[in-house]
Amino acid sequence: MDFSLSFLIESWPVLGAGLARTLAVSAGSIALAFLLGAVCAWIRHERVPVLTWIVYGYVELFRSTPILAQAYLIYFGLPSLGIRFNSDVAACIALTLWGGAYNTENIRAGMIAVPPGLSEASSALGFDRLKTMRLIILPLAFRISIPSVTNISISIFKSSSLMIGIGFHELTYAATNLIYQTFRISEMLISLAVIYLSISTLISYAARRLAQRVHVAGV
Amino acid sequence: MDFLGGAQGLLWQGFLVTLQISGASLVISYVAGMLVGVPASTDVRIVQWLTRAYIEIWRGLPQLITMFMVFFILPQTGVNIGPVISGIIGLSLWGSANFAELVRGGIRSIHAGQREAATALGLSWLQQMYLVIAPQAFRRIIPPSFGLAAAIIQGSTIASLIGAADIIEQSHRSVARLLFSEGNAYSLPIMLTVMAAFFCICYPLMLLGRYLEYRLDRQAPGDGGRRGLLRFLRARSTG
Repeated sequence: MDFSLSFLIESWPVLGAGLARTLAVSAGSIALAFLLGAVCAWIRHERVPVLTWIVYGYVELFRSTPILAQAYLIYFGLPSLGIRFNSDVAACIALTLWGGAYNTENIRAGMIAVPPGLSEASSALGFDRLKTMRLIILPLAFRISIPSVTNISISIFKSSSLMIGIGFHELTYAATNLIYQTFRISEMLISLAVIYLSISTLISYAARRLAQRVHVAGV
Repeated sequence: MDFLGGAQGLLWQGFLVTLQISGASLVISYVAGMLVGVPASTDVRIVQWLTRAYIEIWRGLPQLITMFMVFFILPQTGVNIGPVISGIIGLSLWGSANFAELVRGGIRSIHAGQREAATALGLSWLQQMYLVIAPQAFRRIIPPSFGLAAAIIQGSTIASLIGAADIIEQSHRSVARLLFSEGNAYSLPIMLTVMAAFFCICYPLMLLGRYLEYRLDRQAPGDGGRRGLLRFLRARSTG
């Protein structure tokens, strides 16, 4: 296997465009999955009637099925109900729903881990449930769940490579396309590996810094 | 079964391939994970570095990239393997790295006093391992390894992207073929069937793992069996 650096430099515009799309869909899905997880965790924690069971079913279903099947259901299955997305939107929805299911459990675990004395104290001070949640429980639950939410965010970033299955043209798609055109296998695979590993490391480093910065003693 | 538009035969064939890929990957992952995880828990520096590199690389790479590596690079060295075998190897690299980390963490979590006491009793390293450390570590390793099993089974679908004819690939092909020949793709029922197949396998595995974890958490003597299960279900339905 010969390794050609000049080929790597030549192909960079194509890989870079793919990387930009990977980063865009990952960033969007990571943010949306966090929001979805927070809302669903709140519904589960407060046991909002009916909704809590819907959320429970959603979480269990999406955690027990492969993300590829979910993406296919959204991209190939839903059009028969007249719901049609292009592959960019479908990829974002699939990653969000999948990550949101895991984040629901992550953030809910964070809510449970908040010492009960704190919410008792806040109701003794006359805060209603919504205020207790917003001012006392959520800020602490978010801090507690930073490591697990980070893991899922990295998984979302890595799983975005699976979206070539529904024709989303991202980094892996660009690289495999170049492989089929040029048979430059080692260059492409090594750059893929380096890019994915370094961005994952970057995300987890950033999360550790965030956790240090917002750390509260005793929780 | 006409709601699948006659695709059930192909889906069943694909399901068997999915079972092959996940079954083989499960076995290889657990065996190889053990072979990497036990050395990773020792104090030998060079062994620690090597095992850490193995664990970090194969856990860190997306499973699809690992499968691509196996699929494209192995044939260049003269080994001719198809997408199914490539998928199994790629998935096993990922699964074994994850299981190795579980094993390493499980062994490391055993209090150092246990090992010191065993040394004081004159037990050799091997005796310490299988008489003292392993029985305790395994209680902690087994619950999360059910979740890992579900993740490996779900990961087998990724082999479809390098061309393995598993249930995902067959559902995809059936939808395309039915759309062309009959004008009705039956896509929603076919995709829901695929989801249901995975749910029926992975959900019980995850439930069992969570139950074992729960039992480990509130371990009380003589409270292993039915009473533990009842309390588990009650705790889940309210919380």
